[in-house]
Amino acid sequence: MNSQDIHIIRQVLSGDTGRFRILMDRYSQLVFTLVVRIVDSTEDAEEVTQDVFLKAFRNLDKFDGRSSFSTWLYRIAYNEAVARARRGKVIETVLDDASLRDVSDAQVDSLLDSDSPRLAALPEAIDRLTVEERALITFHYFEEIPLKEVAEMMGLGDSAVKVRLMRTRKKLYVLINEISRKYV
Amino acid sequence: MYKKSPLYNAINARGRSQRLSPDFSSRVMCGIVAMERRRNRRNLVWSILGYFAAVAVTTGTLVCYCGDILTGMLHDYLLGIDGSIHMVTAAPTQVQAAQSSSYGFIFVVVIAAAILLWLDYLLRRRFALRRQKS
Repeated sequence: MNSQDIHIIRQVLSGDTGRFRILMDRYSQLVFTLVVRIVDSTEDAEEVTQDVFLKAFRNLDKFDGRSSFSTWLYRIAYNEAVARARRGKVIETVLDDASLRDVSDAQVDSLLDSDSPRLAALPEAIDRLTVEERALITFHYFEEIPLKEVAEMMGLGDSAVKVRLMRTRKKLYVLINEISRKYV
Repeated sequence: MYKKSPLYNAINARGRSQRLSPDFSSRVMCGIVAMERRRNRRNLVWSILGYFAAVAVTTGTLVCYCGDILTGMLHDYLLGIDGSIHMVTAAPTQVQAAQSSSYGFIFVVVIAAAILLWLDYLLRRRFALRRQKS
């Protein structure tokens, strides 16, 4: 935990509201980049980022310093992104258990960790994930946040987040194959 | 660990070139200033209502329990204006009666004020401790 951040937070809580701008300048682009990868549009991402910092300011007294300030912001960003998605008309692909049951972990690993030309469909497949699924793979594969911490951020148990990650990888596998078949 | 993986590259490509608008921080700070003003106004309204309630309770207590003392004092005062001769002869008794009414009145007012001030002090201390803890 950055001691400078703690010092600034204390000053803001003592009434020096203007100091919050320092935290915003430090973390706003970081949060925005994360949010843009989770939500569907850049306009939505900027609004969500704004809501994240307003909410962070309102609840600054609840920040206990156990995690880093950026992790705390990421948690708020995840909740805001999901709330925004639920309010809007978002097109998401939902696959039932039957379509995922026949896919083995080995098949998924052999595709996602390879150089297969079918992976050209990966960006479109990621677009078709739900906000929660996109957040999960962004936190784990891009931000490289340990699964235990991701579970805490998403309000899930450790085993639940592992199951969700496995399902998301299988879903990507099914979607990649579906999209690839369309263009063959 | 995953930096070279196709999944990492695909996620990276999603938001790589996106930047926040330059006036983002200013907009958010305006929102925060507006939020603070609303909060301070709300606190002020609650403070005014709270002290108004305290004054109402104090006045109600005085009227309810000391109304006869106050009436007696007023009566004595009016008697004093009308009959100064009676006052001279009955002065010691009247002064004594007025004094005991006054003492009663002062006693109740002091007790009520002490209770209200003590409650005010307790509440302020509680809020300050809660703020310090956080």
